[in-house]
Amino acid sequence: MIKIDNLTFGYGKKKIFEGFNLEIPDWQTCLVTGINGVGKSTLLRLIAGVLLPDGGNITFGPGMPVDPRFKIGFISDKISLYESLKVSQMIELHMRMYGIKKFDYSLLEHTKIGMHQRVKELSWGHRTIFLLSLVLAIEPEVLLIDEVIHSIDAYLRKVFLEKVIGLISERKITVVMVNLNFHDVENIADRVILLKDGKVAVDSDLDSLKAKVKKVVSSEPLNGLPVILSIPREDCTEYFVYPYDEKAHRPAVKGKVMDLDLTDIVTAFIGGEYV
Amino acid sequence: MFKKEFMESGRQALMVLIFLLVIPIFYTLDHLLIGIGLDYKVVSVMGFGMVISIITLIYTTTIFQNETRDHAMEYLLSLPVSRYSIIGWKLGPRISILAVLYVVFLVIQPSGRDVFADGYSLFIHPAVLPIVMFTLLILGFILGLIGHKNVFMKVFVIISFYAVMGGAVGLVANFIDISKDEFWLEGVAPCFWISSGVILLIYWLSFSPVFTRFDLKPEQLHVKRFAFRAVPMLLIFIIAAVASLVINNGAK
Amino acid sequence: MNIKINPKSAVPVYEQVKREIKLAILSGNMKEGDKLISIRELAVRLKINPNTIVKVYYQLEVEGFIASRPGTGYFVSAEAGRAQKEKHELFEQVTDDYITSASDLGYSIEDMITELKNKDDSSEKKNNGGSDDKDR
Repeated sequence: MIKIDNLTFGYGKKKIFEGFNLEIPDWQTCLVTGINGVGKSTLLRLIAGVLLPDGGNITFGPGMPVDPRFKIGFISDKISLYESLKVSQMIELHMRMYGIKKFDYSLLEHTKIGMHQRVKELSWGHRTIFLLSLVLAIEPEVLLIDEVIHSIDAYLRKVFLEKVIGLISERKITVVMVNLNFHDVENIADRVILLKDGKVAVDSDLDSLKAKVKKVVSSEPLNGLPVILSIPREDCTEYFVYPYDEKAHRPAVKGKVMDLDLTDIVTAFIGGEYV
Repeated sequence: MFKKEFMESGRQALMVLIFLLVIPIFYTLDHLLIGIGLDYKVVSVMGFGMVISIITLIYTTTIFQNETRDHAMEYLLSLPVSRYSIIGWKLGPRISILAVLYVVFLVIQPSGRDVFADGYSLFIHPAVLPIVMFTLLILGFILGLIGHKNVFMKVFVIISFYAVMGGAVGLVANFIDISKDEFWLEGVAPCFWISSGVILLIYWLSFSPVFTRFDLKPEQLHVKRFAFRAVPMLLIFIIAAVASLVINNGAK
Repeated sequence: MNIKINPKSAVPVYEQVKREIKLAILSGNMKEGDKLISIRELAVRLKINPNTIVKVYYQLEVEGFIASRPGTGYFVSAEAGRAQKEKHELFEQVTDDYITSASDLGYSIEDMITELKNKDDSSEKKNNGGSDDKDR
């Protein structure tokens, strides 16, 4: 469990979070999204302990050690490692720091990462998989993944996701993922959180979201429906409605009501900020 | 990690020593071939004082050099190790080596003031050198944390260092009667201590977030905001030192 | 077990997976005693949260379609094939989907009936044509 209580954080005068609260129960897979710069990566870093809050605190459930970082696996989009070290040296350092006795080399063997290569010589995809293998070695209770999945090739992505889903299935970990691209990952999440202006704007499970956010395509204006975004097209207008109530709204609609996938849903929510 | 840092610090010190070996070598050649130049004692003492100061500065400004170069800062901070331990690993070896060098300095420097006809150079007085080193440690630490890419910070640190020395000289000139015989032993060191203390206090007040919670923020710190807090205080200090110098001389 | 998820559909993933498995069992593609793939494996294949699969399998077990053997896995149960009511419900759902899709395209129920009749005739013709070929 991750409990974020009254979190405040900012650089200088600009505050990214002020009195931010969030609770993520055990074994939940949470997807965090929002526009660029809203603070998604910052939030992950705060949970990982890489950044320290200005105010408030972040606590974990009783299963976590005193220093929670022993059991937090953090895969940031920076893929931070000691680049001058060889793969074998990096593993050795990692094992010593975390007190790991045994290391599982299967991922490295599968993706043909050589022990004697220096980390800086590895391709980005290989580095990502290498970091994943290091993170898995600590047997994390909490897994934090910043948008890395879509910076690697399709095969490595499949390998990555398989490992993560396997981990969720075997060890019942709590996962927080930051994604801008939802392809491949939307159904892995139990819960979708949209951040806006340092606050939680949307917090729902995916099925409820899909039921409540619909696209209405109509050439006539919609009256009385809660439209969050409208996009004029050549021959009609696309209206994004939230919250959509089937009983109340369907009769009023003179057009087509369409279901949306997560990408469209999030677009509808954040589109309002740009338009 | 400690061992790694120790090896790294040792190597750095060796590099500096090798580089500055040029001074005694040239001095010896100079002495042998031409026959002029200062007394060997003076050169070795002054040279060594310089060496220690330079090593101190290098040590602290490069404290996170490995991490910055390897982009490993985030990895380091995500490790289950307290921030204090990390500083401990890094400063421990460095301070130990500096302590050893200082002891060597104490051994090779001749006693009392018979080095020069006119007395000691301020900077290599055995009681003053530790202060100089300490000040350089702190200033270098801030610089090392905030990053060398920041030109503004580099200039600022240099100015601060001069302010320390200048302020000390100002104080010395004001409160000590230079003609007195006991000048060197009594008056100098305390003046440097006061001067350094003031500057370091100013730095603490301005840069405390950097000191107390180093993390990735220094990379994104709006350094100028902190520095500008320190500038007025530094200016006041310098003006006070200069003013007291003028007033004192005027009174004489 | 060949299951496809429609990401655009607002039908919850849980429902979609459950329906597909039921379809496979009721249609006879999966027979009594067949082993279902593990929760982990299905989650990986569909890129779905294992939690969801757990719910699906649990619900299917409650409804009597599958039974779990601890340590071994999930198997299609004996009563499954006899669930005629379920089969009919599924048939209704499939029909509803078809009607919705066809209506979206602008076709009326009469059009659909005509089209279905055409399909029926042509498949009859195929069968007859096939036997003609055989006779030759």
